[in-house]
Amino acid sequence: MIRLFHVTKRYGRDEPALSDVSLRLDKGEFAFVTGPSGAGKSTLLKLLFAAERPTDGRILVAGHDLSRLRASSVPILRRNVGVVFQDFRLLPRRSVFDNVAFALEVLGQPRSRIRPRVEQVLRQVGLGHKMDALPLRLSGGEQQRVAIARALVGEPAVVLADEPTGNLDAALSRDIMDLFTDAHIRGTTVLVATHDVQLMRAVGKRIIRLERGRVVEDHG
Amino acid sequence: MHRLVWFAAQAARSIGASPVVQVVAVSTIAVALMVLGAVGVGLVNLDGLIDRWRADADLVVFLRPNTPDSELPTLAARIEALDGVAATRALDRDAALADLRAAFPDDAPLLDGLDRTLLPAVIEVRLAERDRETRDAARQRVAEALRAMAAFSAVDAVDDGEDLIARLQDLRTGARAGGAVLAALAVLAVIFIISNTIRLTLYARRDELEIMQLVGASDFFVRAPCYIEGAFQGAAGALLATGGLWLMIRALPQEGLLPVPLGAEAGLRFLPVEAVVLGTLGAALVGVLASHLATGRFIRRDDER
Repeated sequence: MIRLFHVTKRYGRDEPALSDVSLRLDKGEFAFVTGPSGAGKSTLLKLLFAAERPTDGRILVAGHDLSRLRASSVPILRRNVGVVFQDFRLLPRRSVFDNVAFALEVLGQPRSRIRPRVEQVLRQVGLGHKMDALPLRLSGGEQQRVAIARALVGEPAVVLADEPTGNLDAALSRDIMDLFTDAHIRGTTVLVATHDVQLMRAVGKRIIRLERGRVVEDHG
Repeated sequence: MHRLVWFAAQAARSIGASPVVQVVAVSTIAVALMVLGAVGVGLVNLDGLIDRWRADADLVVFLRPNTPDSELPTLAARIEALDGVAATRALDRDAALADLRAAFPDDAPLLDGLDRTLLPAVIEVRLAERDRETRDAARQRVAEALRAMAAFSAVDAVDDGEDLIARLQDLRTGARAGGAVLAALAVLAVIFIISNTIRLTLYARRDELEIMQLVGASDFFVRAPCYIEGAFQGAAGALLATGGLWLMIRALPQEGLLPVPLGAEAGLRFLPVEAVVLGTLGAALVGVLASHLATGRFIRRDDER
């Protein structure tokens, strides 16, 4: 599902953010990518949803060769890749329902199909009773649930999460991780960037450790 | 269909979110287009003037200065016998001077001192052909026949109005060239205004656009609401300009605006409906183009980030 072949990413003349990284995540696999700040976790995720292009090497995601992907094909890739960020990135003036529905509206899906699907996903993440609330009225954990619902509503093959529990306490972090585990059980490939060692141990999945842009450990 | 509704809803949301910016943009576009419309009104009236003059003008035959007044009736009868002539009116020198006085009553004191021999005797020729479409050709035919008479009669010159028409056509050519330059400037102004307004809108909606791109919305989905917004601004500006121009023209005194002796109908003509419709559609299209340019820059910048 995800393959990296000797990928390097360099910004200007600085040290490479990623250096000669090769990885393989199979369909339906769940993995963490971890490491200290500046290790290249976020860069790796950005490469996987084509927010950045590799300086060198080749990346395959859900059947797309990102090294050769034309700009006009990026949206097609992103329909197969759900992304969750630490800062949620919700639209503050739109309701919980509208935030999630927005992801389907912009794909041109009809309202009649959007409503039941959004309601289903919001119930899955435990927000069936807060569909009309505005994001700023919700707790941090609930806002992250909305962001996860938005990432999952299009039924992507891959979900990428960049420090999704960075702003949450341990209990909420565990709840959020349960949502990713549920998605993984339903067959979605999940890659979570985090530096929360306890959380990774609790989930007990594969851990890829990056340091200074290189993979230094890969186990599980 | 639901996509179009969604695009329209997004555009309406965007327009509603910044009413002041929209009003300023539409008003500025309207001012630019009103100037262009004023040139258009001028051209329409100049065209009308030339057409009416061509269609309505009769002929005037000037006689040689030494022609005795007694010859006028005979000559008038010969001219009247020409094919295509309905009637003639002979004016000897006194009558010609009296006509001149009647045409310029305010300048009567100036004309009092004029010698009667200064003006030649004339014969006004009224054409039989009244159909506007074919009258121009009929006038040319009669004028040719009259000029042929000049060789063996007292006919000195024939005024068929072509000199005046040529001057009016020169004026029209100049006005059209000026109008084309003005139209190009107006299009650039509209593009500048709309593209900057759209960029402001995009900046205000940048979080939304980022999420749209993140979840896989195509560039067209990002751009389409902006196209509608740009088209709205262009069309609204054009309609506002049309309304404003119409009111301004109605407010002008309608009597004596154009020289009546040139055959003008009373009052100014406004732009034809087709021109207003085409102009509005054109402005909407320019709005779409401006939006495309604005969103293109924004989308490229977003990719580079």
